[in-house]
Amino acid sequence: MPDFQILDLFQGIATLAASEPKILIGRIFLIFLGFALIYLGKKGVLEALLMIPMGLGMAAVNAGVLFFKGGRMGTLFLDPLESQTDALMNVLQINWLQPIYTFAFSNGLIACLVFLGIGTLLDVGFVMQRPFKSMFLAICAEAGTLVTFPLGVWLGLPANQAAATATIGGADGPMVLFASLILAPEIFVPITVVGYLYLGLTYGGYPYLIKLLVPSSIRGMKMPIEKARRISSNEKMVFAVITCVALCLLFPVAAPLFLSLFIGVVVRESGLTHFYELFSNTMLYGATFFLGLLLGVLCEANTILNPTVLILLILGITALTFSALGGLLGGYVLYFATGRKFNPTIGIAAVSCVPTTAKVAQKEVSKISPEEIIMPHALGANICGVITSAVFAAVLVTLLRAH
Amino acid sequence: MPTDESDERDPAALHRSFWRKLPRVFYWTVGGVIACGGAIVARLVADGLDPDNRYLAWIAGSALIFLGISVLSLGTHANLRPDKVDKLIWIALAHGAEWSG
Repeated sequence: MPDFQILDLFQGIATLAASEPKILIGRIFLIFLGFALIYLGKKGVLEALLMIPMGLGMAAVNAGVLFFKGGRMGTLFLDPLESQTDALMNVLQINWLQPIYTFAFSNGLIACLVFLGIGTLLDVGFVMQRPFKSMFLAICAEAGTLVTFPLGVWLGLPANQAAATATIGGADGPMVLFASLILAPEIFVPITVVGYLYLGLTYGGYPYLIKLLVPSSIRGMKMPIEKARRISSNEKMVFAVITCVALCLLFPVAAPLFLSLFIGVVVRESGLTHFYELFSNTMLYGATFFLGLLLGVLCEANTILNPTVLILLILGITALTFSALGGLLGGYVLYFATGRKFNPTIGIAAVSCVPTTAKVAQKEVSKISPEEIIMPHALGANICGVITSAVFAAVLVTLLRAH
Repeated sequence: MPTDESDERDPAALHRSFWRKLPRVFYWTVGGVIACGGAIVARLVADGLDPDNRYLAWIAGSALIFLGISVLSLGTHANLRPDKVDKLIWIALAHGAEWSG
């Protein structure tokens, strides 16, 4: 009878026992982190659509490690490090998520699909009704990106990694993924996971920041009723087309992202009902599901355990905090510039993250003045925040791609 | 899904200043020229600069794009005198919809 050990039947446990202590602890930690993400997603603390597939993927991939030929350890999920053509052809036939990773994830397609779906949800009319205020706030809310980039370099990250991490300040998950895939493919997994985790937390953390920095007397102020200008679909389409073409002209490296976003806007406004239904439901949620699942599966201890993760955790929270501070500061500038007729709370909505931050701003104002509606202003800043984040990411990508 | 295409006219628009009476196409064209022209010029300038200083041209280009789309946004329906652009565009779209099947 051949030599038989009971652990051979349970390779997930056998590989744990055979791992070096650092990996052993990392795998157990990531399994429990996966459980925590599922729990927090279900409770509504984090974004459930993303966190539940990500959490389960993370737990499963760290539990499902097995032995291959020659005692090498790996999984049957995917191999992100494989780039040799022959070897890639083999793993494409073995690892079940490899085709999605290779053909949709590592080239940024999935980020573009999510962005396309987001585009169908954006009503650029809110920006067109008050373009200058929206753009001013959106630029202020990029403070996180501007602060985090030099801070990352100061903390010892190479410029490309610091820039990729700084895009977290733009508060747009697909943008962070897209930029980090181009700028820092060696650490795009931890950057994107950290980005998404923190973005999920903005809903919980930003209200405290608003309460801390905007006194209730100002937060609940009545803004004068403005004459809302009606924006037709044609006007919104012209806006989307011109903006898309101009941005693609200036930043061709981010053109896929711009096209995805604005084609979503154009589909929304052009009355192409079937496309609209496809992109705003099936495509957006399908892409979000696979994005979450793949991010979770990519969090295998061997690939994610990296000393830079700690720096990324610091930089991620710094980026989002400074972006919020910048947005609120911009709100205060408009508050004083308009003779105290502008609620500075709206500034936080310029931190992209559509439509979460706009909802946060409205919710905090409604707690003081239930009848006060700031949502149109907040959505203007919010949507402009998406465009501005894409511009800042494009500047960083164009600037540092060659480094 | 939003496909608002009201042709309601604002009577107050007739009493507005010269700039607000200009047709929408004027704003669209000027905004488009500023945005796209700014982008092209910024790229040409950036290509001629030292790589470390190119970001200045890109930031200037971005500012021009923002300015262009702001000007474009000023040419909104209710802000201006009536024109026939909506109707023309919708005729074109209707043909497009037929063509796409």
